[in-house]
Amino acid sequence: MYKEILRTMNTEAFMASLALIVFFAFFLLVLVDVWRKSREEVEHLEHLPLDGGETAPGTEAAPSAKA
Amino acid sequence: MMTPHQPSESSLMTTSDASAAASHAVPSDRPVETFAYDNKIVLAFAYATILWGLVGMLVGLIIAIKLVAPDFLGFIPELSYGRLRPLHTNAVIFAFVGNGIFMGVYYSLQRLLKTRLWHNGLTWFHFWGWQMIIVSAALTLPLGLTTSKEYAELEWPIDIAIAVIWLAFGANLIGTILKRRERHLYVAIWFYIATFVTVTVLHVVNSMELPVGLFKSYPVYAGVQDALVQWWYGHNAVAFFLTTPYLGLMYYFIPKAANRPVYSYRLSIIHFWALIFIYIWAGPHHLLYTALPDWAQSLGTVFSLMLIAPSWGGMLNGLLTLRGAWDKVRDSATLKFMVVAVTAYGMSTFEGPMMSLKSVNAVTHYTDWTIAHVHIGALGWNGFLTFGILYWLIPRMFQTKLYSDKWANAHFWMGTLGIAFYAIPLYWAGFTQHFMWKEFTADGFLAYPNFLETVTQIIPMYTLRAVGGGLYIVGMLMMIWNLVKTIRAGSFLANEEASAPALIGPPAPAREGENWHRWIERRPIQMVLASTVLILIGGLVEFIPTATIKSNIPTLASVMPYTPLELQGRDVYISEGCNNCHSQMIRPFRWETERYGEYSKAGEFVYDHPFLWGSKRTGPDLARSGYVNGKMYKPDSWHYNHMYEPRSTSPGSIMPAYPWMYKAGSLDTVSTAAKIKAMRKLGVPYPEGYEAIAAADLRKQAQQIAKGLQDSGLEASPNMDIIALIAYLQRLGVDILKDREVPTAPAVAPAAATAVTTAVATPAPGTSPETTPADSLSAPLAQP
Repeated sequence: MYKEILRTMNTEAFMASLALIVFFAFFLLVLVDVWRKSREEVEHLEHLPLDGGETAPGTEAAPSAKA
Repeated sequence: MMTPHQPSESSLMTTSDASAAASHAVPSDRPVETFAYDNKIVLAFAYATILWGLVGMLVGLIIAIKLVAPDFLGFIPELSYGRLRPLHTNAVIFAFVGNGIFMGVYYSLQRLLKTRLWHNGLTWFHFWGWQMIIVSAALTLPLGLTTSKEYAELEWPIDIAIAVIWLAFGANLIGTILKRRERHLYVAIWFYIATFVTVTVLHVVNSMELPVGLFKSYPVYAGVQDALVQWWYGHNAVAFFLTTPYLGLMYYFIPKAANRPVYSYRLSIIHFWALIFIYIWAGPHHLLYTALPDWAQSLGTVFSLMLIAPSWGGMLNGLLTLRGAWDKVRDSATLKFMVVAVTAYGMSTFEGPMMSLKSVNAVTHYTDWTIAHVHIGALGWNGFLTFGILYWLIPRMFQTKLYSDKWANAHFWMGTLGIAFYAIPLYWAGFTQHFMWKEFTADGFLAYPNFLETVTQIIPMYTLRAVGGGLYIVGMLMMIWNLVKTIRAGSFLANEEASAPALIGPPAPAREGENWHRWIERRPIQMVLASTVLILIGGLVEFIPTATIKSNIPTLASVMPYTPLELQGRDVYISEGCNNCHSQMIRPFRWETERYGEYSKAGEFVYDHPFLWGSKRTGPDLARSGYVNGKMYKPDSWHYNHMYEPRSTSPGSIMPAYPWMYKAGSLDTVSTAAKIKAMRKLGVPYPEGYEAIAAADLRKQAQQIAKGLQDSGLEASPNMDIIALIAYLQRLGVDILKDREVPTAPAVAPAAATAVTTAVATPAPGTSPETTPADSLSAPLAQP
């Protein structure tokens, strides 16, 4: 049956379908990988912006200033 | 606060859990290095962001005022609407948001990677190069030196400069990544990498143009292909210049400002890959119901719809980062700006996909709804996130508190009001336009056959929109004042000390059981390559068929190249930015064909370098303005009077006047030969050697038109620019209708029928011998 589909399909449809299949496979791999990440690893990654190694003062969130 | 984490280099670990746990240990063999982050470059880009933001928005305000008061700022050619509008778009996108990107990227990149920027010389080359590009845009665009392609108007020398400076930025970005001390690349950095890679591809492909002069070029693409490439570029300029870098900034600055990590790091990985793959395909949603092949339109629609998911993934991640901390938003202007920015992003990325549905697009396309949509994103997402970052960053770099929180909050409300006053009137205007354009009377005629009626109805909305823009600018001025006071009270920390353990050796080889994504997070080069491949897929699928498959653009035998005079007129049209207000693409709707004529076919545009389909109808569509028997036709004398002073032929019109086109000698005949040669090189079938006589043909046709105008009592001379423009307009839409005549009585016998048709006042196009140019082109000229 797939031969029938390939025979009647035009070039644009073929290219688009191929691209979609390739991406979807890739996306499934991404999902699997994300699912398998450990909690510690995720915590390490998500804290990267909060720990920039700065030793200068003023690295906390913006304090309210008096008007 | 977390202690610095360093991934373990040990190869004894065999499970991902164990290796992750080990990654928290600080190996004793790693020397702690001290270094300093460069804040000078961040401050330089911050100043540039603010300066160009103000300039770009002021230009926007000027053109908004011109829409309600078309004689505002008078007859200065350099300030005419068609020339200033691209200056506004380029300034706010590349100068305001562009500098904002670099400000935020250079700040966050260093701290996420725990390293100073790679190359100081390159950094400042990048900065000054970018500012010079902006200045050259500010000089060339008002002079009418433009390609006409939206957000790509800058001519070829500046395109080259953009490529050079952009590559410098990329080199700096990748160089810094390679000398990092933090092994893992935080998600913001992937967004920066994807931005760099994709914008490079977009810019290079869309800027493929053949120069014919120092500041004039023609794209290698024509017609449908040019439209597709342009909007593949245009929408991805939104995606990868206005969205992905700002998502990266969001992923850094919202956690920083709220002092908590992002809601779901896993979600950020998923939506990143989905976003960069899907976005590329969305370009054709700018071309729905046009002559673009149907399959390409469908791809654009479907992928635009799918795009809701990853876009909202980003929005949710940004907003939910503040779960449990909403009280902080109450007290912080910074967080208010950031929250509204992310919300505006969510609104835009829902509205956009909705507008990509063909049924909705039939309503919104060419109307002010599109403009409203753009500004929700631009003012809300880009503008507000930039302000939020500035309010957070400047006090920090000057080691002081923000001068006035009260004024920052007032700015927030002013800006929000500004967005509301901008967008809501334009939604109203968009609906008004659509319903007036499509309304029929009970007898089956257009209820508003005169386009001008639909313009005058929405002038009050245009006024409100100018008020909205004004409020937004006032808010910005408040910010500038607040930041100046803050800067004066503080002391600048040019080099911010930091310390982190060095990163030794190459990344550990893939451990058993380790998944590929952790592998790629440590390998920026592979990350760059993978992103490149992914973003290329969509472009290739959409572009290759239109380039190679003939059935996508059916050839029409009657379509001929432009005459040299018409070509020059086309260049005048481009130079004056007429395509900013006028479309040339009739959609297959009855209410559209009733008003404008036969709908546009792909094959009509094969010689159009560049295409001029337009995306907005502030004025009517001109695709068939040359067809004598058509609804849009006007005689040469009408055009002559209309362009000189639009309100003389059309009371209430908001079109600007073009008196400089009537200067004797303004018509360029010097570049004619070069233009013909260039067009032939690009595939337009001018005969070999035609350029030798092209200028003579141009003058002959110009003389005919000028003579016709003089006979009508007008003081026209054949060396005026207006003559070329008239010739061009009178050629539009004619070719495929050349042989069509409109019978004025039912046909009886063939002899009688011929008598009837020859009695029609307007002659059939292309049949009067003295007006057909005696050359091999035989293009028809419609004469009154």
